[in-house]
Amino acid sequence: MSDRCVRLADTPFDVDAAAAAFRQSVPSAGAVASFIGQVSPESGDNPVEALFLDHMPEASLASIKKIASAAEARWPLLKLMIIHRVGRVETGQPIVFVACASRHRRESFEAVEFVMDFLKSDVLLWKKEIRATSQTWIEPKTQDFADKQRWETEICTE
Amino acid sequence: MQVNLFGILADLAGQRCLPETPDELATGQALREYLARQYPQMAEQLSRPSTRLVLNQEIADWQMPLTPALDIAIIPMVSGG
Repeated sequence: MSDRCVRLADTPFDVDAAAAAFRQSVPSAGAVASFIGQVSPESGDNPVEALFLDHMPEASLASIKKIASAAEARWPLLKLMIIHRVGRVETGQPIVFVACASRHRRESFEAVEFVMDFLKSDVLLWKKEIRATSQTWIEPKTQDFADKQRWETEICTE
Repeated sequence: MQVNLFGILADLAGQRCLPETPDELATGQALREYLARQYPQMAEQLSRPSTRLVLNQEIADWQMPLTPALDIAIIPMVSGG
């Protein structure tokens, strides 16, 4: 298993500091790939003001760790980091940060995509869009399930 | 027994925790049917295959027996990332 940091954050986190610390912590890596997901206002007359992410403290973190374990089993990663926000996340704030370090670039690129594809539809979190005049719970899209299926594996996050 | 709700289910019930749920409900399925009667606004969500029973932080079959000592939750379809 690679060196790993997986956590839930109930307050805003400094994603630039996390990325810098991650890279500096693996000087032996030949490649570091990362992904930042942030809250988009989208366009239109009723833009998104924030997201609310509901969670079960123990089970939600455990489900993310299972995804991390699957990535570590599939690629020879030197280090993996996942930080996922919970609670209210304002527009423009990061909601998720994923970083992978490896000897060669292909492993890191693929592992970050893999983790994100499973985070979108398998992790025990519930996401609500908060707009000025409405609030809507979000469910995974057909594309999210297709993105996951391309890896031809199942992760039992339950 | 106490039942915790998450996501849209908590919004539909108007509360996150249902502390007065009868102890006599023998299984998860009996609990689901009881809640659908008591909170008709949740009935459609409760009937979905993607809605799951969680016992002691683990997904469980709806036919599992219930006891008040269990940590009981019901969760809707997930949406991370």
